[in-house]
Amino acid sequence: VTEKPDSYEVAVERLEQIIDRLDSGQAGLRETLDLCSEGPSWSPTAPPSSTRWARA
Amino acid sequence: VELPGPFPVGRYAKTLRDELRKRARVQLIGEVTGLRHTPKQSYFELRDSEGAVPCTIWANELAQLKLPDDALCDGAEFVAGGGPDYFIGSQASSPGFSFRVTQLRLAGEGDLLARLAALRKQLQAEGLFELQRQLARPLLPRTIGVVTAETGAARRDLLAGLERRGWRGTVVWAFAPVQDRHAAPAIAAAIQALAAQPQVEAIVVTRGGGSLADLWAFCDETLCRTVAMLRVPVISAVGHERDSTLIDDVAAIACSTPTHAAEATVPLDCVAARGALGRDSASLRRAAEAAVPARTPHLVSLARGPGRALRRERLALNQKTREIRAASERGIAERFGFQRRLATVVLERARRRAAGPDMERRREALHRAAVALRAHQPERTLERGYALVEANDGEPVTTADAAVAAERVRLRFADGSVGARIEERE
Repeated sequence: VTEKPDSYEVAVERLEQIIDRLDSGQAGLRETLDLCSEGPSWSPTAPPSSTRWARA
Repeated sequence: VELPGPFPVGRYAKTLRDELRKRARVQLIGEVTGLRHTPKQSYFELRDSEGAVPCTIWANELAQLKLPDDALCDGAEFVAGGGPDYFIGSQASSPGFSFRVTQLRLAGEGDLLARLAALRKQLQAEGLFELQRQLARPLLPRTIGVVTAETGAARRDLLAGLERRGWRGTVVWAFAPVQDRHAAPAIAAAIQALAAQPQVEAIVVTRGGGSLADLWAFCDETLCRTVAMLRVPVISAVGHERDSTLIDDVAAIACSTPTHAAEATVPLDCVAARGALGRDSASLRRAAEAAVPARTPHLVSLARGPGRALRRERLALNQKTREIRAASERGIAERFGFQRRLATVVLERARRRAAGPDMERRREALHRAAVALRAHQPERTLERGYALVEANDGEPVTTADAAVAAERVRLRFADGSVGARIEERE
């Protein structure tokens, strides 16, 4: 799990980076899974994924 | 004061004789003592406890009375009729006073009974009948004094009675004559000697039956006063049941026979008491022997009681301790939770005051980002019919070479996973 951001601004900026990266279609499957696992782990509003995608 | 006279003594003596002979003729009763006979007269004294009178009787008059042989003897009770007389003396003999006896007979029972009744009335009036009866008598005396004749059935009967009683104490004998003029003083002395011995706890005075005259010594006033004043209880057994002497009245107990005296002196039947004691002892021993095993289980149970109670109390105490600790922890947690909630509310309010309207804007922006992120979640892709190939370690298999190398993979669908084996590369 990625470390929780220090502030709201950093968190929002990181979420926007994740969404931009996913929207770009350039992220591979592994990276997509990691990005989808990272955001909900510290976002208070993002819905949790029902599947564990993180690396073992 | 000038006295009349002087008168010639001979004439005075005759006058005195004549005056005495004018006195009324009476009967006297008493014990004959000092009897002596001369060819012309017989001399004796009639005596009782209060005094004596010298008596004379002409030999021819005595012979005419035809008394039984040897009836007139010292110690015999006689009734003498006559009057006072005075012998004026002669050249060969001295003058002297005497009671001139003209009638003489053995004292009858009626005479003795009359004397006895008078004496009894006198002693009773003085309260002498009650003194002995007020004394405490031992239930089982250890030493008994006995006054009786050395030879006689009374002694034997008394011993037999004590033997039947089962008594094992000591008898202190004080033998004394029980029938003559010397009997009463000797009996009184014997009783006093026994009473002087501290170990003597009761005194028995006994003799066999006889006429009232035979038993007259036991009606002696001095003897009866001696008995009445003793501080040791005296049990009398004089004569038979029909005989009643004055000592019976002043004694603590009057018994009809020596056997009865033995039972009265030792009220406790030692034979029966020993039997009862033996039975009680055996019963007590049996009870004691049975008591131990009978009470052992109960005692064992009682002995376990404290341990059980201690364990029960310990468990209860531990339970209370746990409840108190839990309640304490709950209380602390509740207080802590309340304080934390309170702090959260306070901090949230403070935070909101500090954030102001910008807070909602930030929340909304964050929500939008979350919705966008959700659209890229792999579950959404799987729900559209795609499948994800995973190696055994959970890593996604993204190439055919990786699938061949893995040999066994898992295919994850939206509704679950299945295992798959790679057979060949196409």
